[in-house]
Amino acid sequence: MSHLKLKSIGRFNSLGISKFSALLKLPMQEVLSGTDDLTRNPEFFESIPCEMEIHPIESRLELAEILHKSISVNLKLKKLLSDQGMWSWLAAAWMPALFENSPKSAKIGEQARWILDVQKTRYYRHLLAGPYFIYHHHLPHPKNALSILGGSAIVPGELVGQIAASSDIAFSVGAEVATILYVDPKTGRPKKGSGGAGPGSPRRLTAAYLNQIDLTVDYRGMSAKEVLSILPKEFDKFKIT
Amino acid sequence: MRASINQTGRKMIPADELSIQLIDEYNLKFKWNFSSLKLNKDSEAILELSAIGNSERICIPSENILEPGEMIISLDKYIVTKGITGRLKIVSVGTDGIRYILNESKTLRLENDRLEGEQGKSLLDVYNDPQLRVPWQLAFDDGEPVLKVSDYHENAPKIYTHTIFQTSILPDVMRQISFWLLTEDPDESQNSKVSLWWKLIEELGLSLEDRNYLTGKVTKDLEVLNEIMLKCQEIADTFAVKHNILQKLSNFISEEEG
Repeated sequence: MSHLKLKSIGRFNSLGISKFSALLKLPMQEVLSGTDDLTRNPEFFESIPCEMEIHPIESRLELAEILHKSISVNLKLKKLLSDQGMWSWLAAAWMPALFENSPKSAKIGEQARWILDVQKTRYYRHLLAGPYFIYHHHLPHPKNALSILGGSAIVPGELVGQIAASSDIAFSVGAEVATILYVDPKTGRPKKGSGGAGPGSPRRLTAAYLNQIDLTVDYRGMSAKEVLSILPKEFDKFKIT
Repeated sequence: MRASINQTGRKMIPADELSIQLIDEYNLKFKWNFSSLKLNKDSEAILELSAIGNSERICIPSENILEPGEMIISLDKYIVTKGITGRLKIVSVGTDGIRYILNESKTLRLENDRLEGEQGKSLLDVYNDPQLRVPWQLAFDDGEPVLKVSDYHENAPKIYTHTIFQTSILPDVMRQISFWLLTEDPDESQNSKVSLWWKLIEELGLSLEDRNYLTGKVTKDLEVLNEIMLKCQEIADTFAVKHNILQKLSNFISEEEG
């Protein structure tokens, strides 16, 4: 079982990032076995004192909570929140735990999932920084953003993909609206039928509704309840809890 | 000069009447000097700032914004200060409680962050120029791609079935179709063929993450359009490789020479 209690974390140097990037192109088993050497060999990273517990987790929310607990009390880490080396080392260190008990569809996937891409249009795809930024923004009520924090950390799912892709929605009341519509409050999981592109779907909420009314309505200044009240009828089926 | 109106026909606040600039790593200056901004007692001015990992709304008192002025905004909470963008909205709350946007600015980019501030002509405008006269054109009249060809030349039918013509244009047709899908995001429920096109470009390398992200941006800025162009080129390249375009062309030339 992947359970580690760290006294320090790493920050990849350029060699470390380059090695990690090359490793990610290999078959999954080789990647999983290769991360251990990469995160232990001091040639590849700078060490930063920080207590962190790495263990298998259920959701992006749980992962973000663990990261926040360690980062929020560490002044040096707070200054490295956009640091590619730190997030990439963390992703490499967490990789075996993220894959443990993961859905069958779990895969390594694109590089941006593991090595933080500091472009505005891609950073959210990072499996650790993505949920952490959302969690941090929605404090003190991160569960309002369960639509983008509730999915599996390694297979975020379509709901997360749709909502997180639009930062205007992910970092506003839009995330809470999506949570109310598409997340079952009893299980914390996506409601049945919330995938796909049909009427009332998350895809319709983002591309066909919120991003459209954004030209005429300041919905980001309204409460979730107020936004829900102006949604078209096609979303009614998801308003029922 | 391009008219400053948004997609709903609202006149936008001229770009030279407001600006944002970084003072240092921790502070940003917002300056304004409006020539014809009309506010009533119920309207509010909201400055929205966004950056990687952050989004913030700052309410500016209406009485302050009518006169030229500036304000300093702390960036303490920001994870990344480079590439901050802003948008000023003038909002009025209707009797139904809905916050209507009366007026808004274009996207504000940091004056001293040139990489983020460069502007360019909309690629969509260039691409969809109706004045463009070409021997073949991809049209989307009925919600699906149709390749139209000119019959101006006597040998037109031969040209369009010729290996050289097909190997030259088909990857570009694929690129254009991908561009159309990612920018227009046509409704799959209205035309079943659209689903087949999506399926095809997904087979050619468009991931679900890319599709969600690229189609999710309704008001596509230059940065996103460049990303779309790049992805479409990758799809076209994959198409060309999959169908051995170069090999077919090479074989044809060898046969001709032989």
